[in-house]
Order: sequence, then C-alpha cells, then structure tokens
Amino acid sequence: MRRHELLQGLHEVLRPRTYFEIGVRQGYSLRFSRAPTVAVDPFYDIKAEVLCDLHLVRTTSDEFFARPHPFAHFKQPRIDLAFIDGMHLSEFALRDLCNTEKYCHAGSVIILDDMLPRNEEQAGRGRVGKAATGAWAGDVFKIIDSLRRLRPDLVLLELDTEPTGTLMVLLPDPGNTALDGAYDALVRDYVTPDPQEIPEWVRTRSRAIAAEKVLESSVWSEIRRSRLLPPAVARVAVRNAYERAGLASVKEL
Amino acid sequence: MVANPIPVDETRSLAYRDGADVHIVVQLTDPEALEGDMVVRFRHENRKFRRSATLVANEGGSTLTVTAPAKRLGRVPWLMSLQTSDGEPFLRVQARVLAHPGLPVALLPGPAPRGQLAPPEPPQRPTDTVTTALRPARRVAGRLKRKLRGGKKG
Repeated sequence: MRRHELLQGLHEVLRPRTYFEIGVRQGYSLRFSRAPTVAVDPFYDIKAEVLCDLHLVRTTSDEFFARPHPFAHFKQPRIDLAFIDGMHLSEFALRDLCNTEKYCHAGSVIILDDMLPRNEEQAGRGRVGKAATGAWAGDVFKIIDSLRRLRPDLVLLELDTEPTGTLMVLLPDPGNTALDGAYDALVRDYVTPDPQEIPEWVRTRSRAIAAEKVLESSVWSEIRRSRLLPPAVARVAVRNAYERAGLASVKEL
Repeated sequence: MVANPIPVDETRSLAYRDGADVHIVVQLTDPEALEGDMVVRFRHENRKFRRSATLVANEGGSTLTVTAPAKRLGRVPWLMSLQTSDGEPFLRVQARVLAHPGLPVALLPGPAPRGQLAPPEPPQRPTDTVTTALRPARRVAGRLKRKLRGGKKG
C-alpha cells in the first residue's frame, strides 16, 4: 500500500473532526481531507484540488507552533488526525512530533512518513545518489528507538507502506513532556555525518505490519466513540480498544 | 549591494539548550573557509545583539559555534550575521534560530518564507444571551467578594 492510500483509508475509518499536516508541497496528501484542516509548509506549491475547510500556512512548522494560537482555525485547538511529512531530518521530525502531540488527545492518530528507508542512500541526511531524484527518507527513522525508549506509553506501529515506510503513533498524551526533556541530548546524537547506520529491522522492515491490516481493524469505531468521553476515561478506553484489537502488543513482535 | 547569505549545510548544523543557554553549531559551506574568533549579530526586526563566536575550518567549509542566552532569544526567530573582523561588514548566515520557551529549540536553515500575513485570531466564542445578561451581576458579585476578602485581611 502506498502512503497516500493509508492516509485516505484513515480519513475514511477515523472520520477525523480535524486534520493537521506538516509538509504540503503540491497538496496531494491534502486531497483526502473533508474535515477542518490546518496545513503548514514554508514553500507549498499546490497543484492538487483540495476540498476542505483549510487554513494553509506558509511558514516553518517550528514558527507555526511558536504562534500564540496556532490552531485558531479549529473550534477547539485539538487534532484528530495528523500527517507529519516535513524536513527529512530526525531532529525536525522529533520536534514536529513533540509539538503536534501537545494538541492531541488519547484517540488522536499521528502518522510520520519516511520512517523505513531500505538503503543508505535513502537514509542519508543529505539527498544524494539515487535519492536525489527518487525516494528519500532521510534519517527520521532514528526517532523510533527514542520513542520506544522514552515513551513506552505510546502505541507505535511501523507500517509497510511505499515508498519509504510510515510510523503510526497512537495514544498520544499532550501532558507527557519526556520527549521535550530529552530533545537537547537527542539532537546531539542524531546529527552525525553520512552514511547513516540503518538498523536491520528498519532496512528489512521486519517489525512492520501491513497497513491494510490496521485499516481493516474494528478498533476505529471505538476510537471515534472515545471522543465523547472525559479525557481520563477516554485514555483507558482507547488503550483497551487497541489491546483488544491486537494493536497495542505489535511492538513486542 | 547586499552580499548573498553564506550557505549552510543543514545536515551538519544543530542548536540545543544547555541550562540557560542555547548553543548553535552551523556548518558554513562557503568555499572560502574562514577560521578564528568572530562576532555573530542576532537580529529580529529592530532588535539586535552580538555574541562572540568561533569559526573552525574543516572539510566542506567551516563550523561556526556561538552561544546565546535563551532568555534573550525569547519567542521569536533571529537572523544571524557574521563579522570576521572589526570594521568588516556583517555577512548574513542562511539560517535562523528559534528558542521559544516550552518548545524544543530550532535551527531553521534556508531562506525565511516570504508572503506571511498576520496569523488569524482564534474564533470568538458564541455569546449566549443568558451569559451576556448575567455578566454585570457577576461583575458586581466579584467586586463584593474581593472587598469582603480585603476587609477580613485588614
């Protein structure tokens, strides 16, 4: 499955009340949204037709989050579905995730693109060789290990999507500051010269599951219903729903 | 004539907090590799300040290292310019730094995006008539409460 098919499927099963996107470029991933949407890209160049109530922001994601009211377009500053496809450098992706999570709730779904490069050219911080014109993931895969180590409360699903794999982050917690606290140390580890060392489980996608399997899960109706619950109750209900659906334990494979 | 900004290799540049300071490491890809003690000027609109910096030549250019107090950087993005020696003009570095409190510190390589308008305000809450009608009464009650509390203290 291609990443845009995953995104389209998520819009269908999750029926988000709000959608947030970092990295718009030509607008192809915006096509699927029918919900109030905020999309950020400093150099967007929309080619696709977009059919949603949209606040398109021409700035960097960091400057966007530094605004006093970044989600002024939404009735409530709350994200149901987020797609992060900004700069292909690990420190940028981690910041985008940290900042996005602050506007999420237990039932929000965050998708990070370009998480499973297959070779060193795709995984390079610099876009060279075949990656200069073809698929390029950058080194954003590095954040998966950080998330597993620092945020065991999250449900993380590596998805076998084309071309460069995605990570689905479930059960976000806007009150958790573990990643913010670790950022300054992590960024020093992340910024290393190419070539990057790709873990075998990334290269072979041995932990990745089929995106179709996730989309076909019966869990999404429960996730939608959880939006009506008080936050603390919703968190337990969402976790239980993912466990019943067999998604919360995938990381143990 | 304004000189072109010094290009930056974002793959080898970073910024991070350390206590009350923000450390900035920028890989300059200018073919004329510079080295030595320099001055970096931070600028946001009309606000400016300077910090001493070091530049070390290496493969592919030179690495600029500078530290700035996080408090001074505040909530806004800063342009950086480099002065190689006294009396020389400041040369723009093609990167900005943003150290908004409560957010991870960000080094923003490349040109600043153009064409920004003021960001929109959040939507106004719909005013329901009951709330509006009760507002003056609540104001009086609040004043009375504060007065009573003040009276108790005195």
